[in-house]
Amino acid sequence: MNGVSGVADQSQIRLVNNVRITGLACAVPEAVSEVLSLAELFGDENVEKIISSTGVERRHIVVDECASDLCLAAALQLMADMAIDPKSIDTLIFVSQTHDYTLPATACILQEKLGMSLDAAAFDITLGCSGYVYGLWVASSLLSAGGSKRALLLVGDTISKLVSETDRTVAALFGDAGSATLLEYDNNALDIPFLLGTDGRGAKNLFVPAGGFRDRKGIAALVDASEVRGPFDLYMNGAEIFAFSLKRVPGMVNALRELTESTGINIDKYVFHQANRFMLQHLSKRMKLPAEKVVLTVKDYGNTSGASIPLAICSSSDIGEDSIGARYLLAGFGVGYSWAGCVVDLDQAYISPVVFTSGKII
Amino acid sequence: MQNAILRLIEESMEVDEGSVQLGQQLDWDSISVVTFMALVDEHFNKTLSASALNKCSTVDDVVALFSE
Repeated sequence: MNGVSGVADQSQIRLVNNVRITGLACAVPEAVSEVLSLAELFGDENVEKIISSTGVERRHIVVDECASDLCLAAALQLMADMAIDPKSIDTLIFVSQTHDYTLPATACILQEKLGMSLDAAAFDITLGCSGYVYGLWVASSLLSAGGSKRALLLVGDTISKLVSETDRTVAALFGDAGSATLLEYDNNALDIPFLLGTDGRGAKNLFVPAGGFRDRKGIAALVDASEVRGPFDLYMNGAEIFAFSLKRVPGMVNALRELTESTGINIDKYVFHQANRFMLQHLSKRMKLPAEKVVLTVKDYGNTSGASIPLAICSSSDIGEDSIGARYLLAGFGVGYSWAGCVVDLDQAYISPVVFTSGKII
Repeated sequence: MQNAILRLIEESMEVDEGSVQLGQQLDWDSISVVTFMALVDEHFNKTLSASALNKCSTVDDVVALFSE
């Protein structure tokens, strides 16, 4: 049982068959913000301590662009590289917490910008750290059941727009990024095991209290009132998030790893949500994972929310290699609390080089 | 046990060994708190409650968490 102990067992694994990830691309804004530049605000010693703990030295930050613009740039690159006609994609899923408008769904706007068919299904999902794996689960389940033949999953966030510059707990952590992943029906694809979970008791530990419909105008003080942030800014209780991750991630990863290894296949790479270096190094040590198999890309990009897993894959892969290695264990965890893990075969997937957007909105 | 806890508090605060004693007020930031949680997880195989830890105002409060 996945109860108090936090141990996931294999009976909870959801197996999806006949689906393959065929391509992946990521885009980040060109503008870079150096964490050291925060020294004026927080002092040299504090900034050095933050960098040595989080491992984040710089982030790519949008000026005006939205998550959808970054995802669009990634999708256009992917379709150009793979020579994919947008009209051949029947399903578009946009996963983000930083959508363009209150309504309509951003996926509808992206359908037009991508030049997709009027027969396309398009919808949004609101998730963060766990959002990439959740998106893979939704897209692959649709494909596997015959609900789609070719799906485009766009996952991105511009958390920089939610961060108060004077809040030391988050100011130096988050970057912006968008991703595009193409999934297709394939009889010969290996099964994809998924583990998913949710614990809403942690909702207020990673939280933007105002701007939704519970507190539209930012009147109610739902998290500890503070001079460093307003009601429309992101609040993070780092210690609680760390405790949650320690409780949930090792069980999920171990269950997926054991299932995969029981079929005689080894995991080639572990790609976790790039929360921060401290968290990932501790979790890796706890799970006794070989360091060379754990992908860590926070140094140049920071924590990019739902886009961090695909961005870690794109930015750590040597482009032009025939294969980037077969089996990737992916695990996202955080805001919600929500967590999701899976093991995917990227052996035949095309991986685009990271795209740097000009800031010009298409 | 008590000495081991004091050493982990020192390590998480990056201060000299022996400088943290019982009876002292705690003066640590959020990075020290999560570092301490990680060290305790590693050395004692114990996950401390973040809310309980955040409520600690003295070194003794932290030590008391281990007898619960």
